[in-house]
Amino acid sequence: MITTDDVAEMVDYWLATPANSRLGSDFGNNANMLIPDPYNAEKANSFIKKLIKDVPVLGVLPRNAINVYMIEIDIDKTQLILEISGQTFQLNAN
Amino acid sequence: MLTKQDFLDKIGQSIGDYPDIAPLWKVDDPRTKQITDAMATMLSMLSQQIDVAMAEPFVKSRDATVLADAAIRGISNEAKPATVQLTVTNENLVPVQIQAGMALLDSNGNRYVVTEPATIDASTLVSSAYVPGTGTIQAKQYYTETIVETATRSEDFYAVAIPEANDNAYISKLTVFLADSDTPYQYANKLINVFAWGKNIHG
Repeated sequence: MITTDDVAEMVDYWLATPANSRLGSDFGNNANMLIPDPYNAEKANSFIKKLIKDVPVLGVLPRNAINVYMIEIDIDKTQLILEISGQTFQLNAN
Repeated sequence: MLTKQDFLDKIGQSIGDYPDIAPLWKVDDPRTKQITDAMATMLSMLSQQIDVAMAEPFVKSRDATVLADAAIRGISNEAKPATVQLTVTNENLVPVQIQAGMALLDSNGNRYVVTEPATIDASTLVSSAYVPGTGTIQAKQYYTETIVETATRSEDFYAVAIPEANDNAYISKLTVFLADSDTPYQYANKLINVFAWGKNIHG
């Protein structure tokens, strides 16, 4: 049985793994790509697409269930927030 | 040779023995899937290497084996120097002569020797502006290294070790002289068809 906690742990695992750090696979988040231009919608969509490709379980969720937000918390510092069906995950991308 | 997919298929067959993990693995849970994937990749790389090693006695596929095999047969690794054609411009008011045998250096420190000399014309005054004279020369990329070996014993088929170049250069020509003579030793493949006491070399 796959629980919500399992899916949450999968997403945490994805957020903790930079892209291309596993042998023979491009698995991992490409959050660093978002830093140069945080307001680019295309880039945020590709971030979500990569998440769904790497964690295929999320593919069954309805459209717009996964969102990415970026908040400027200080000078030159941003907080990346990933929201999946109301549950939020945080990743510092400063 | 076993591929990554072969190993993944095998994992897929036996994952049912672990009922807690099996459903997660089936939906590509990265926590287990990425680790098994990486292991399958490593094993396929090892399998590839074993495959090459197994074919080695029949097909010489590795560089080291080819070179070792050639060395046993008396074939040494020789190179042909690169030939370059250079366009030379002369901005001086006098012609410049470039002699054959002159050594040139390029910006990477590679050494060239001029093989086709040329005289480069002086620059000429054309409507109140100097037009530089141009010409082409040919050069070969090689340099000469002299190794002095003192024979400490009298021995037939005396072997002299040639140190490997430290700048990745290859040998293109090998000439052996006695210190008090100008006649080089004759090359004879495997020292076949030579006179007794003849002065011959074999690389």
